[in-house]
Amino acid sequence: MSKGLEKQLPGVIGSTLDTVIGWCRQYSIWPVPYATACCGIEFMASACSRFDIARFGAEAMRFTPRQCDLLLVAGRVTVKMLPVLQRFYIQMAEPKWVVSMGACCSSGGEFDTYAVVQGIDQFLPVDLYLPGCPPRPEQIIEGLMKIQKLGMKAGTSVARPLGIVVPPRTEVPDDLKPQGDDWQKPCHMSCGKTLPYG
Amino acid sequence: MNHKKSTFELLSEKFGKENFDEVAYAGGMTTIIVPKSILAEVVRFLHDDPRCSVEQLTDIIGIDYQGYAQETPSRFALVYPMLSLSHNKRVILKVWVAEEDMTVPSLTDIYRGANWPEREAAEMFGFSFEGHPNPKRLLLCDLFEGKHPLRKDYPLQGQGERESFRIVDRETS
Repeated sequence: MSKGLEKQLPGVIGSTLDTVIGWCRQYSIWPVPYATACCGIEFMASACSRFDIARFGAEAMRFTPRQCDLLLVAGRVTVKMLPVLQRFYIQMAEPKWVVSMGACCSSGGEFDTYAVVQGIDQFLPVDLYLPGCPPRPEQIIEGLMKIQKLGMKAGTSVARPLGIVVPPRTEVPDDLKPQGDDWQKPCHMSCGKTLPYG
Repeated sequence: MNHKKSTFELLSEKFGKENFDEVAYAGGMTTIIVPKSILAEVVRFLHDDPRCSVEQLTDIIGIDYQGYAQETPSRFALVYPMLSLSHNKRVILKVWVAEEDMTVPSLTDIYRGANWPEREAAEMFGFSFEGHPNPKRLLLCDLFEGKHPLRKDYPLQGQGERESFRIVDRETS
């Protein structure tokens, strides 16, 4: 039907309303930085000019659940905080996604103690995991792009929670590598592995 | 003001030498061990006396010595690091507290800043501070009512507190 319309009226593109809304939604994902620890700093870096998630239309941070699509949990969640986080999630309007950022949030990390929840996915539907301590901003952006692709389909029924994992990328293209030998120093005192950018 | 006398000597002069013990560390720092019964008077003296004039109570730290390598006088201890701003001098007091009698005099009428550190120590170790104006728990949530997580016999992974939440899923939210 739409083809017939396009034939009769040149310059008009036919589509469904869902597709148009999905396309708009894709480039206006508003995250809430639920930053409880150091991963929040890395998220701030990804919002700043060097990485700039404004390029993906996700720079509008809102600190109220009513205005957000993406719950980005960055940092460890304690047992005192978890009921707050759950309530926050329930108050968000559909469509909504949950990103579990960093090792502490996804599994408790090194904080295997009485006070820290061992992975928020025990109590919340997590759609995207960003492993790392902390994950690099590139990883956050890659995860955001995966969410964007889902944003297109938000009107349709997508099985949830999604459980996507964005792995850390340790390979750096040759033209982005720093010059000289400095960058090939061991990355950590005890680890001794050589990683790009130390 | 007598510069020659240390805080330990001043306290020994005032309250009797047999009451105190001094442990020295590197760098000239000493810890003065005070019996629990005269703690409030000692701190009052340190605060009021111009030769000491300890204006600031920095922190209150509880210690559980269960399973400690060396033998200790009792299971628990409280450490009071204090600072004299006018003399630029630190005083560290230590009080041994037996497990059977965890009552310790509160310092809130001398230092108002003792309020929260005492509540924290009471919550984490189970001390009971006598004369505290607001002896409620401070930090942990209601799941830890009556539990003292920093005691050595408390399991590190907790007693199931971190697993005892409802599960929010897509259907119920």
